[in-house]
Amino acid sequence: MGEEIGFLGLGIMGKAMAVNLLRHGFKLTVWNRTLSKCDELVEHGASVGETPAAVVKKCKYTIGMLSDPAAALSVVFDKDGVLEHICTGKGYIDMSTVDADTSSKISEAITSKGGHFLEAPVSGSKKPAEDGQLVILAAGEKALYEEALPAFNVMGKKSFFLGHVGNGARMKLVVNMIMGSMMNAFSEGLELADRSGLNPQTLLDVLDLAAIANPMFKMKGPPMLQNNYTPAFPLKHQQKDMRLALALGDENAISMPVAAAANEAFKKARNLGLGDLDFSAVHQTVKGGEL
Amino acid sequence: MLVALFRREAATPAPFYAFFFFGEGGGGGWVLDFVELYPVRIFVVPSVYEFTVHTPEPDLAAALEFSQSHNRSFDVAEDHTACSLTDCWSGIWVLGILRRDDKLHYKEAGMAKTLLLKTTPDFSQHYLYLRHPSFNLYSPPNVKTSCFPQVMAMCSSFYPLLPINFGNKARLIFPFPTKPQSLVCFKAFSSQADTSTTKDDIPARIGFLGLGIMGSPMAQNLLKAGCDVTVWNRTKSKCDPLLSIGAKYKASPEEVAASCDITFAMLADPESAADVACGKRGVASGMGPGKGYVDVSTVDGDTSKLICQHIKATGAQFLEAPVSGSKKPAEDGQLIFLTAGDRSLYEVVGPLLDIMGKSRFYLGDVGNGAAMKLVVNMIMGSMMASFSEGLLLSEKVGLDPSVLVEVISQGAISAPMYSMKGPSMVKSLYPTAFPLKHQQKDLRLALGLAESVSQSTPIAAAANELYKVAKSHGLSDDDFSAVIEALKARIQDKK
Repeated sequence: MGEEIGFLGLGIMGKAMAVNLLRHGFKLTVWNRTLSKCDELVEHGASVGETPAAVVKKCKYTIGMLSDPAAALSVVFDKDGVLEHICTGKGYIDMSTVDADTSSKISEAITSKGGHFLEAPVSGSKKPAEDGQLVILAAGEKALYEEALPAFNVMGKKSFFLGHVGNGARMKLVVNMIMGSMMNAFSEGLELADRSGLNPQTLLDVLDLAAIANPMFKMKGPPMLQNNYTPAFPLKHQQKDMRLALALGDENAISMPVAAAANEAFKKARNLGLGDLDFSAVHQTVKGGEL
Repeated sequence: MLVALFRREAATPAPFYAFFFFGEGGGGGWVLDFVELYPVRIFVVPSVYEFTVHTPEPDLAAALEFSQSHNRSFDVAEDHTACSLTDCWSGIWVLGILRRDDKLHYKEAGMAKTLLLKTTPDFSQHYLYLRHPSFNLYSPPNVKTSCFPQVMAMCSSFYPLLPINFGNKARLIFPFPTKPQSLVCFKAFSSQADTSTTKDDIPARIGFLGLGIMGSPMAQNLLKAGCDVTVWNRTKSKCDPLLSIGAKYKASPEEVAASCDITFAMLADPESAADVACGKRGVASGMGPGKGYVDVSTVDGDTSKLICQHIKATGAQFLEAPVSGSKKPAEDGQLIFLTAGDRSLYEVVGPLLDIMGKSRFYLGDVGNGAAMKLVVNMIMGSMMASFSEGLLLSEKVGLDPSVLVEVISQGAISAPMYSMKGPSMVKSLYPTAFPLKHQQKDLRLALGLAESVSQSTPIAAAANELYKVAKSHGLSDDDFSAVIEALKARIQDKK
């Protein structure tokens, strides 16, 4: 990809990913619904597109990193959206986390205009995005995947090609479902340790040595003990992912009692106004859960 | 004999560390009997000015040739359990490869020792432990030299570490001695400590009750390290493997306790633990002042406190010490001990716990160890249940569950448990490392603990239900990963 790449969506993830690409010598044209968010990218050398359509017009490949299905659909289908200038020879890579249906809808619309489509949701939050350590779960057009690899290798540490459109979306949802349940289990454990008179920091030390040690516990544990929930991955998005994963289970009549219980906890947390905090804020729900 | 440590340059997920024995010059020699080779690769290459690092074992013959051509007397026993060097002049002898947490049991001049490598999680600091049943030596930073002032952990001359290619016969030219070209983490210390100082660091006679999946390898590790161990098990035949490697036998917990200074117990559940400790011909009947009882079983706090009461009433000391880790960590001496109770007993049995485990925690009053274990296993049970849901969901929606396992291993939720169990779960195989019935027992006890402190635990409760379903379909003795079967529409009944 020596040409100009488009980048739509400069939130927590999009901004970090775009900065990474710029630092590695990629030429970017960026767009964000709130245009002021583009300023920092301009400082790093990006150009700005006034609308998604303008970006796609200028660039051979455009990456989208939107927060949810509604936003992902909007940048494609709305006026001045991606569809207006997508055509043969141009590719759209949607790295947002959406349900498989949304992804299929976008794919159909893009390809029916002659364009090329790849879904490529990522596993990893703010820091992995900044460090170029994301895990990319791509599916769709294989040729576009091959062309996107140089950019993927900058943004991520490992990329997977999973087949036809929808598989990337589904894989992402399954991973995030497990992650949401794990965060709940972790919160229950921290709280139980605390209430039983144990030192929660000691629990973290023990967990770090055990077979269940993982980077998420290691990273999130200490700030959780300080009631620090600065968002790396907003709770409302985690709950969205749990909901989408449960819907996937529903479609296929698959039993998922643990995920269902975890989803309830996230819903409760949103109810308590914790939606914009990091998803580890579900810990607060567990703390408050008196019998 | 000096032991030194070098680190391989290239950072890999599991760095290799070569350890070198330096001959101290002047001829003579030494004999090393390797009591246990696993998982250390042993090969001996003598060299003053250059050495060759070989890939393990198949190239040992080449090493032999090389050494003979350099006029060293060098013999390796046919089964690779021993090697001896005579006329060992000053030089660098590559003796083997250790990875983090590897243990090497060996005997030097008839004295049993253990070489153990530890590092900080990011591999930035590493240090060697040299352990003997009567004392522990640690290279810095955890130097415990109060017993042995002659032991010096010194960072002495630095030798340049060139990239070691563990391919075929990479040759390194290694001037000796020389000015360092690059600073590497180099710790050296003498293994010839003053052993005339005998401290009562390790209790002489050790009892071990309960030789199941966990107890058997734990007792074996104690025996292999040179300890005097007396065993008992409800089913006597389970004692035979231990007896064949030197354990003694007594017919009841009472007799074991009476004939030993420290008695360990590794039982399956609260009922057995209480029965062995407090029941007829139980441990309490054989306990007394000067003795100690260490219960390594996983029980609830109340059971632990009951046992504690009975033991202390005899004048003996008590330590609860449940472990985190299952069959393989038990075999490899990689358990994590979560202890609570008598602090002085904890200090006394520390060296024994270090033989069986990789780390230990002292958590205060009796009940705290039990609680910590239950919390850890509660999280583990929930994680396994959630992982099962994910594997099943991925399969049903047309993804490859093996790819899911791989994706997880790359991300923030990557845990050794997932990488270890995932592949067999995908094949519907559940070889028992941690029986499902015990995981469900732990969840049940954890829920009880949560209730006692008025905490709601919906995820653990949901997970517990799945284990109950799995049990009702006859999967109690399978590995706890068999919980995935509880989610399936048609469960293969194993009744």
